[in-house]
Amino acid sequence: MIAKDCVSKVFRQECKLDSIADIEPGLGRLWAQLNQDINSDGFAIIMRACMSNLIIYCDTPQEAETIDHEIAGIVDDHPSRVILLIDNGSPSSGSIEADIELYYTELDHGWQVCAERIDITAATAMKDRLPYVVRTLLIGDLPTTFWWASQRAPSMAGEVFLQLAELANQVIYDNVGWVNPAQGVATMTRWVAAQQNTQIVHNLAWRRFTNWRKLIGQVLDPLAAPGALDNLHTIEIAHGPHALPTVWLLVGWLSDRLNWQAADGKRLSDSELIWRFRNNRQTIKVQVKRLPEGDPLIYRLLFDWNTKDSPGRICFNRLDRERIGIVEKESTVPPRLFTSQVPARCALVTAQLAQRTRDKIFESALKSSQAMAAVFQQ
Amino acid sequence: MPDLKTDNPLTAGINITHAPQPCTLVIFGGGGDLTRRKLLPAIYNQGLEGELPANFAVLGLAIEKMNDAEYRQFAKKGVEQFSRQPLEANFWKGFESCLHYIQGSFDDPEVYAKLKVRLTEIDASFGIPGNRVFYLAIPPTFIEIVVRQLKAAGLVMPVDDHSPFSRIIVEKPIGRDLESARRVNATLSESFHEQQIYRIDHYLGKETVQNILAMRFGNAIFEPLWNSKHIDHVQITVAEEEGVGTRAGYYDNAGALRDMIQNHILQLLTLIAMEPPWIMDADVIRDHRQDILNCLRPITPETFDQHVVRAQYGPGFSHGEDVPGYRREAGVAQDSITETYVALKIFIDNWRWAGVPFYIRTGKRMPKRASEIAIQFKSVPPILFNANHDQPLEPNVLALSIQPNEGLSLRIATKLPGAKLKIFPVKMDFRYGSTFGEQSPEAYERLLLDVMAGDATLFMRRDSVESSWAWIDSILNTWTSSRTRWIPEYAAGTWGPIEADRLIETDNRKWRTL
Repeated sequence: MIAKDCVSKVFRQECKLDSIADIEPGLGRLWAQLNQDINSDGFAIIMRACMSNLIIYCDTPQEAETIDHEIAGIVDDHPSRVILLIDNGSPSSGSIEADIELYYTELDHGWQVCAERIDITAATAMKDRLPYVVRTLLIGDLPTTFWWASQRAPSMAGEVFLQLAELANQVIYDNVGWVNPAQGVATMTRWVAAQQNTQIVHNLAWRRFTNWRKLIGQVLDPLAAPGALDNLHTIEIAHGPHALPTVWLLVGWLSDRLNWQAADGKRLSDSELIWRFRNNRQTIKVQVKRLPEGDPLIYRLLFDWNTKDSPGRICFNRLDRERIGIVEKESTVPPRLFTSQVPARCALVTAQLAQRTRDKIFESALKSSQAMAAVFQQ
Repeated sequence: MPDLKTDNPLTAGINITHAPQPCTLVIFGGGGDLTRRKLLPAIYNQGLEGELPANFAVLGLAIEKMNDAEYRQFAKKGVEQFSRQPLEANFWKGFESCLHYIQGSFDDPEVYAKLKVRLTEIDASFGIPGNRVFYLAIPPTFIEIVVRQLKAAGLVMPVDDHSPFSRIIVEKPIGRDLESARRVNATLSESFHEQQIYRIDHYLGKETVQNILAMRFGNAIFEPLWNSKHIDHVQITVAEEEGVGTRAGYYDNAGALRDMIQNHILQLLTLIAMEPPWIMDADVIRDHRQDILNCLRPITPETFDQHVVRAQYGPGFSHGEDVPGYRREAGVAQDSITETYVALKIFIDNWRWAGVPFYIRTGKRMPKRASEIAIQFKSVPPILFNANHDQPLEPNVLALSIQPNEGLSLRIATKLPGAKLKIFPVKMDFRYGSTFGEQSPEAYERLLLDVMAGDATLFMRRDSVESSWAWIDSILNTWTSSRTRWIPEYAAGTWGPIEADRLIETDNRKWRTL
């Protein structure tokens, strides 16, 4: 029966299947059932919109449960065939199970199916078969995106990741919450470099701080803050738990764009790190502090510079999940408020699904992050 | 390696081709209807979506008495009433601080001295490097005054790499005929370089209009068919449901030809008919659009009646309610012969479009608000499925809907299920709103950002304005010389006069039902 998803305007209809072979016929039955339900009191047209194949991999059923709430938001904006792969953690071999669902939205004069969702659940021992199952389910003529939604760095996951990645035009991962950011950054950077321009690889963390990049770029612009970019000497960053990989990437981006070389980096305490960079004039100190609580976000960002005329300073504070402000007391520029909503993960994935080209700036930032990881490990 | 004294490598990769620059938007007529309904809501929406530059402010200038606090209230009401996104109280608190106001008369030099001082203060408060966008949301009669005063007050910077930018946005109408348009353009060019002038036509900011280029030149299947060999004719309809409303004063002196055809519709026509540009550059695209205007076949007095129909709405119904005829509307002269409807048959005399008629119609008080461009392809040969002369197959139609729902549809013939061979037309429909989920930005949102980014692609250039007026003038002159006291009438709530039906039916074609 038709049930309305309370999170978005998308309706869902689901069905459990006995075997993998029944997936396509099962989807056909769902279409027919939907037609019957909708047309029981009149004639309406059902259209299908599909822009991508989206393969999602989860290491645990708990990860899949989180994703479950996000899919409606994704397909509402980017109609797709979604193939959700779940490792149920069972060491024994067993059958691979499948569930299917249709998501559809009401239009002015009919209905539009905006997603066919196929959940495939496999025991850990059966995981290597997943790429074979996926291969049969992809819709031709459409781009395929593979979203690695596990907490492990994908490059450390072995064959399953590599084989699934081969099926896709684009690989999305998210390094927020990685257990070992330094190692994750290092292995992932190597893997991205090895792709040799054949595939788009994207870290959601990069899109997560797009607003920060915009703000920093505009406020430190030579026209708005003369001499700031050229004479930065100290950056202080405060972040919430699990946001270190994001900060790492942000600093990697700054060092790459401003041509700084990573000189050394060390842990000052359990919650504090420091890096030193050099450019052709001076040393730049970047001090990073983890706050005891909060979301995995950047909360405070301070830039200090000296020009011939005077010292300059800008301190940004995240005020809430919608706004970032320039703090009057700690800044030499006028205080201001900026809208900067913390984007939901599904919004980041949706935006990335529409991306069809590699992001060279991201890849350069990733390389600089790798250089930071190298000096940090010394 | 970038020189960090002047270059900013941190903006690379973020809207690199379309980055709005820090600036103050100065709105002349900042207390008016356009500002309240369109401009301030557009700025608010862009702010809410984080699209505005970080260093940005608005300064309204108008005759109405207001201070900054009252102007912010004025803006808030406008946003509450007309914004496509609801007002978010939390965001508004921060956003409203960028709104400022100066009260004064447009012809008073002291106001411009005050403006200069205020802009310098705003620059300092918002970290703006002296960049200005002047938006003239004012009646055309004030354009000359404002432009000269701006220049005299030293508020217009030259176009070079070292100076902050000064850009000016001018609303239509640019003149009311070729001569007056030339005068307006000459006035603008006394103070501003053509590169600094943005003549806005909000139709060109609509998603579907921009999608015309993407559809034509981003798909291999359409462009090979986009010529007189395969296209039977093109119909462009811009139908308004409303009557003249509160615009009688302006409209009765303008009419549908000046109000809609000279700008919106001819611009749409150029996008549909232009040759492929070799690069997505503002001037290259505008050159190609200009080529189409150069090829419009003049409408001569000899063939005038076969190509032009004008009419005026009479009494009728709108949504089941009685509505008065045009001459009974408040502010309209009782013997007015201003046209509220125009239908045209236009030919473009170039290789691609030789012999293909473009039927155009626009009117007020039509059954519904709808704007559409429909490309009707030639019929298949009268054999096989099209052998029955009594019931010919419907030809393929590609329809680009501009409003109210932006999208496109393609009508194709398919076989009905069953043993019999029955062919039925079906429509493949694509709607922006439902396919992509998210709302398209309002045209003004896109166009304002374009000006801040210095991208003039979707704005009209001087030569284009003057060419379209030159073509329109030939119609206006014929009307003037006819000295008629009467023009055809159509009932409000209908699709136009019978004369318009005859115009197209003579060619064995008919207007589309929208």
